[in-house]
Amino acid sequence: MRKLLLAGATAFALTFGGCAELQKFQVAFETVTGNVVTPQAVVVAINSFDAIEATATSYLLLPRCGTGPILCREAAITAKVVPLIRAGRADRNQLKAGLRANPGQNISLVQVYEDLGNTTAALTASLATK
Amino acid sequence: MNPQLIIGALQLLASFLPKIISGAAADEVTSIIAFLEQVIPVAIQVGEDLVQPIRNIISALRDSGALTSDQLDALDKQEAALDAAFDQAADAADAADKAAG
Repeated sequence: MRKLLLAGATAFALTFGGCAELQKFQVAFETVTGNVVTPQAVVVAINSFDAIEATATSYLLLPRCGTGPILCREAAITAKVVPLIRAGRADRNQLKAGLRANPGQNISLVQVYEDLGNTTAALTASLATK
Repeated sequence: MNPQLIIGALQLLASFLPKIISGAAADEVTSIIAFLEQVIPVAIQVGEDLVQPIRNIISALRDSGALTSDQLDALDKQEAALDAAFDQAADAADAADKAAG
């Protein structure tokens, strides 16, 4: 089941596989020019985090492992995922505030942007690892 | 359901094949069916929840990614619902884990 959840979490990236959109996605997600980050990269990072939050919610809704159903949620994974989501939200909201304050402009919250990317990667790894 | 979810589901099904081919006992078949029945609603929910973020990413890739004030308001609403659903699920999971010790 973890594989299925991971598949869902990464679907937004893999859907672009093998086409020009993948390159655009990578450029948008990875490009940090000097001390600023583009609004496009920020929007991709925000929505990637939102996608993993939605996937994490589905995982948390599963019954606890050991209570019967084969399709279940592990307490240890839950303990990792919840604080990561809450930390990621703070970064996401800070980036959105940056977009609002600087419409259409690059923003200087490079560290926050990188933190959000790291959190999204850590969440993906947590949901994928048994 | 998006293609990657379908691939995930197929991989899951493939993992059951050796048991089925080797002639699984009736109770094993029953448990496999029960498992697959549990997967369906979760797979549908995950697929549905990913639609809006994926659309937003496609939109950002097609244009400059610069969001209007209205688009940011819509994103706020979408994320408020997402956060509320997560908090509710996290609280319920926390209560279940505490109750289990």
